[in-house]
Amino acid sequence: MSVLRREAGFTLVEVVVALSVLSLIMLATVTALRTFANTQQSLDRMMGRVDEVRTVSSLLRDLVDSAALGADGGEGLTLGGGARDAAYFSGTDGVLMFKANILFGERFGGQYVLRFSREEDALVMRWHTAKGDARAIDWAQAPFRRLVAQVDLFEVAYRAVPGADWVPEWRNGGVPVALRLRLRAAGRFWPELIMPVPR
Amino acid sequence: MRYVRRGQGFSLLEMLVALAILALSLGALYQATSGATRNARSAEKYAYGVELARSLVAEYAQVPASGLSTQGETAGGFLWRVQARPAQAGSGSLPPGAVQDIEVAVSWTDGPKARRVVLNSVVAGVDRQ
Repeated sequence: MSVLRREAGFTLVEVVVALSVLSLIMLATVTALRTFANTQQSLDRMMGRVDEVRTVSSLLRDLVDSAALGADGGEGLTLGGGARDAAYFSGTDGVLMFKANILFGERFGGQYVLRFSREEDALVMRWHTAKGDARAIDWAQAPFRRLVAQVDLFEVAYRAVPGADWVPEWRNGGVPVALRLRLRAAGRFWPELIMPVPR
Repeated sequence: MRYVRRGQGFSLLEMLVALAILALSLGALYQATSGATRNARSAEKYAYGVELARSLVAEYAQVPASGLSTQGETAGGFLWRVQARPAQAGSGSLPPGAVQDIEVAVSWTDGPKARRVVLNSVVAGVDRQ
């Protein structure tokens, strides 16, 4: 009896079969988990991309929407050079500069000159207080913020009157009625952004 | 008796049932994740479609007084159509066609499904000489 009890174990065949079944189950489970992790990662990446398109588009739209126009230049009514002091809108096909009223939170803010351009493969926004001549700003010293990384293309076009052709340069003063921004980042599709400039 | 008990393991049928349940639950999980991926992709397309529609409303902020109907396609595979019609009621002292109802429709295909975003707005109509 005691001999029989001692020999009551699994046979080699049983152990091998059990191990192979277990390993098959483990393999299936681990593969599934890895697939789920990969899916999770690519979902995160995709949602990040969509978020980037949404936030950057709405930031650009909001900032263009708050462009400072007319004669409310902060120092009352100005004559002569007033138009230049009040509104500032200038740029080429790769650089966009304009003056905007910006609020930080609810109480602080003021007029800033903003500059958008492509620097080292990123879309960079720089800003500077709108005191003095906007043309004389040393942009290399201005604070900046990267909006989009890996930008392949940043192209700005301006429209002088409704329905007119888009022109690649805006230097002659005044304010365009609309802006068109073309962005391409990391080779993917980015919808063309056309935004009206308020008047 | 002892030998008979020792011989009782799982039967083949039990093992098959257990494996089938495992396979079914894994399959359900795979379907759930692929559904999430599909939803994220269609959300991405919706975001692009809405941006495009907003851009089109801005582009056609002023249309001919007689109305407008135009369409096109973008590089991303989005079809768009812009239609403007003179607004009917409440124009008052404005000349006819000065206020236009505009409808911007952006449509795209998302796998087998056709998706569509429509924006309605009111824009200015002008007579062009």
